[in-house]
Amino acid sequence: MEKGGKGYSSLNKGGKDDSPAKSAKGRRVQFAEDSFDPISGSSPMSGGKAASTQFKGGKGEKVANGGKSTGSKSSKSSEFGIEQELPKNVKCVMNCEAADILQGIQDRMTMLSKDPAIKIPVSFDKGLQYAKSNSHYTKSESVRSILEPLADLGVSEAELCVIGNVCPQTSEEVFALIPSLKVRRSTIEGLVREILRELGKLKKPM
Amino acid sequence: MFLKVQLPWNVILSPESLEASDLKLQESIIIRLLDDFAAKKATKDLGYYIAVTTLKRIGEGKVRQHTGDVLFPVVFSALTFKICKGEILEGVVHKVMKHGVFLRCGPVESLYLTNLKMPDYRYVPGENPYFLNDKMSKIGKDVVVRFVVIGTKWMEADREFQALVSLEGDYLGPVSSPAEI
Repeated sequence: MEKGGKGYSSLNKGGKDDSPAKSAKGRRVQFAEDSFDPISGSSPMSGGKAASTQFKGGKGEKVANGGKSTGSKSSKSSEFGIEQELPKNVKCVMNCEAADILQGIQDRMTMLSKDPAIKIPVSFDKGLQYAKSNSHYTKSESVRSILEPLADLGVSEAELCVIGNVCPQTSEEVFALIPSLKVRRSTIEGLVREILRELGKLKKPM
Repeated sequence: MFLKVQLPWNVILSPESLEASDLKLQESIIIRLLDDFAAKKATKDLGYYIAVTTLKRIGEGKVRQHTGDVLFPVVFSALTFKICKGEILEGVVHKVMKHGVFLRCGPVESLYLTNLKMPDYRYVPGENPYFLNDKMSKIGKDVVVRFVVIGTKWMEADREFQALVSLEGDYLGPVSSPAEI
């Protein structure tokens, strides 16, 4: 992202500042309102309002030095969930599930790769490595069945997958990271705690 | 996140690659399908093409006039990877600059985290620069960081995605010391 790069305008302020800013802080990173539109086509960032997913409160830290955020608002996109970004006919797959699928393919590929006519997608290795590194549970098939009761209470498949991928420690973490679940908090919080207890039994040792 | 999708494609075989036996013909169709799939790399709707998982069916071949090629309608399932706005992901820092860091996450190589979206972190210059906050949490090369995606961009010419990410929010930030992702 470079100063004066094509198609970029201010992210945070005004939205109309096209000239590279030479503030005391140095270069400003600028992004166009329309060039970083979400693929779903929802409205671009309005002037002065960053389209960031931000969280209120400051409790808890999954990471060693994660800080509290100052009070901030959720973006419109997070209110409607990640589904806005996805085509209709897709199924969301958790990292642990993808790791199993891709590892199975790789095991068969040792035979297939001897045939030079068989082409492997360039993203396969990176996809497999990512899935395995970010797979936190020992039994992927059990993870989905443990999370499934949340679907009956209106939680979307994409939201279930984010929970499965993030491997949260507490219900606070779940609602902080997935703001679209907050509207159902009173209904699902007890179930979320129970589910996290069950998932905790499946976690891979560090 | 990873997506599983069922796709109807047309696989075209030239007359030279048509085989007499059904088994050989099926093999040719599958090889061609894998070839076309690998060449696709990524699309705006589905993200990065990772792997063909299952072949559902191969339809009846139709001869194309003038060329003699045969078109086979094929339905198959595939795994793809797409980054979505609002999603929580973990990536590895691969480049540190004064005003932000670049991360990679799976097949996505260009995720940018500006210092404006790293609350309380300040740049520490040097041969191996990094960002540091008051709690001595460090964001430098090879550090794994959990972030939220705040914007994505599809680059048609390169067939790849770029993304803007942020650490503004609870439970976001460095996850561990340098690690492979």
